[in-house]
Amino acid sequence: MARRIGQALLLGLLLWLTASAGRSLAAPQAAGEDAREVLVLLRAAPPHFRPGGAYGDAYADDQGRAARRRIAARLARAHGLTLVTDWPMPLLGLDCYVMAAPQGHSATEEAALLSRDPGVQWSEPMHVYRGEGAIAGHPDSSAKPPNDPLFAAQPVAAQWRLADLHQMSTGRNVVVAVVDSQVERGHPDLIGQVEVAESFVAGPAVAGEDHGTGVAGIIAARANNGVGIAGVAPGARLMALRACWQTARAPPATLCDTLSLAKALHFAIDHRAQVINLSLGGPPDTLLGRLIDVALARGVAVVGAYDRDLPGGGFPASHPGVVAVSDTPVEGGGPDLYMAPGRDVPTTQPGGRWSLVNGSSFAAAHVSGLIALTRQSGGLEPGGRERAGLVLVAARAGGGGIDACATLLRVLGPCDCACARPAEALPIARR
Amino acid sequence: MTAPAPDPRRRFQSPAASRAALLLLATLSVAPAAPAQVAASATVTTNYLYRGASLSNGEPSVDFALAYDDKSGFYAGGAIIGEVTRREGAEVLGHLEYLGYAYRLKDGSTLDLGANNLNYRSYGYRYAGDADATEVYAGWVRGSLNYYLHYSPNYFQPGARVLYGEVNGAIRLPSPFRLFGHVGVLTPLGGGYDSKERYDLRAGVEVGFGRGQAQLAWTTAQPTQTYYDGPAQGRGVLALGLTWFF
Repeated sequence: MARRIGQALLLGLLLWLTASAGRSLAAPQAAGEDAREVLVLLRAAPPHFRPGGAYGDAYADDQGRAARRRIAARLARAHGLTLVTDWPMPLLGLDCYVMAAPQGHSATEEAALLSRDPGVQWSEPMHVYRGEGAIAGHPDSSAKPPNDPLFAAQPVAAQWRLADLHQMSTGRNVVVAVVDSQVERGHPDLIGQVEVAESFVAGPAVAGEDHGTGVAGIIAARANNGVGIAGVAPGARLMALRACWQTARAPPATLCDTLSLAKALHFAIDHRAQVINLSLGGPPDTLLGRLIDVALARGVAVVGAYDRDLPGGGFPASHPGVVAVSDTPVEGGGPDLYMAPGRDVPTTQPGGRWSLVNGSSFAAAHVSGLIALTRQSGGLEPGGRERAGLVLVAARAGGGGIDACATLLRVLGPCDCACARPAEALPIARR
Repeated sequence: MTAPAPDPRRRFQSPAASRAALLLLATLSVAPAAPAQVAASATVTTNYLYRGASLSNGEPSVDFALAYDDKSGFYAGGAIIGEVTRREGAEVLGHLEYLGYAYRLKDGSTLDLGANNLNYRSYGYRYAGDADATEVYAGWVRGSLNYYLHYSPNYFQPGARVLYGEVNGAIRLPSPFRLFGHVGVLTPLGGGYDSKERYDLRAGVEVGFGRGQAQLAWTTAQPTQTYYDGPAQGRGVLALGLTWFF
């Protein structure tokens, strides 16, 4: 009797599963050409044991993901959206689903409707972010004096006394994540500096893009190699994470979206970056904010570029805990805003070139490099949420300029090293 | 002393199997309408291996699994395992059920506590009837590694108390590949016919495709005789599994 029941159940289950196979994840309708995208975040259960024959790999939660895919497909059908892709975010305990709204539908309204569903943690429209810098377009690779011929032209050479800083620290083995457009790994000033490179942008691979290559050079270009510039932290190891892309039209813009940035941030945190550079700005975003909070809670320093045209300097600079950096003084900028060199800065560019760049993006890159110097072994260890901000010392009261030397000395403590402090400097701990 | 020959026609007798199967089927039938996270999967494998022992006598098997995850962290699930033999065709090999609670810590790792019940048809030599085991377990999952300790008061033999510790890990390769590995050590605490410690290893590669995945794994165990009391295993078994998620 039991045998017959068992056989009948096996047959019934097989039929049910076969019938359901055709309807799972079916796209409800085609999206219009200008479909806008919505992110839908579904809770992922903590990973746990599931006994069974495949016990050796029974913790990957493939079954749980299948359940969430089915829920996402149901939501997409119910809201007339097209399920585009998904991405797990285990650091947040969430799975992120991207859905496209048809032409004429507002992504913001769709996100608000989806957020009311009890099975949805929250939903938000896909935001677009922009790199906060411009390339002057004047390549300069003709000069061939000995070591780092463009060093004297670097604003930090004088303003931060970079050579003196390097006597104390080069940021040796500190991992700095550059979440940006493609970094040219083969650039003569960046060869060997990129430890990890990943792309989170769809489409064909590119060798290098302006913004990302420029930011990477400021942070960690090789020093004393006889070409180009010296990075602020030439001993740092770069994690080059392509989350942005360069537009074709002139002048080229650097754009990113919520999903590509979230993927890159997740990767950086998961792979233990110690500093994350975000030289970009856009609207506040819940998903990115959550990931930044995770990074800060783990002692990662997150540096953002300040955009004076966006409310509060734009996101992520406006996010609590992020070190916001501007290239120019900001009136009423408040104590959480720092200023660093970001005008007429020579840095690396694709094609093995160097060029002058301008913007808060590059000011932020300088600060990321400086924080890497403070985190070299023997300096400040990654710690609490506020420590990244605590290491920076303002050059004068009421101003946002950073006294890099005082910052480093403050972290390293008494040592057989020194760098002259500007006479007018008045160290004030920020934050 | 010579062990009696196994009875290949011994049948799975547990009425609990039928009840569990009916419960699973009933849950499946309402699952698509419920807001909870319920998943179903079907797996076909060339050999149903459990901690280094073949529970399907080296024959192919198919299992249908159901998993439920609650928002609170509680989870439950079960599976019905069938086998396909040359002589008998499709048969029910057994069923399993589990219930647990997983708690995510601030550092992102997870503490996991639970219990499971295993009921299999026995191919064993010494004990007639089913091969059953009930266990409680505790584990810690951090990233791609997890560590578990299981205690059973009746590990495939009445009164056989054992501890089983295991470490599992996975390495993500370029999509869609993943490598995984497992090492487990079973320590007898008394009550069984065997007092030998036993280890098992498993390593393999997994390939994802669409809504499914393929898994090729190599498994070995020492000593080859098992608590399960089935036929001794060879030094290594290669098994292929295909899973579809629904």
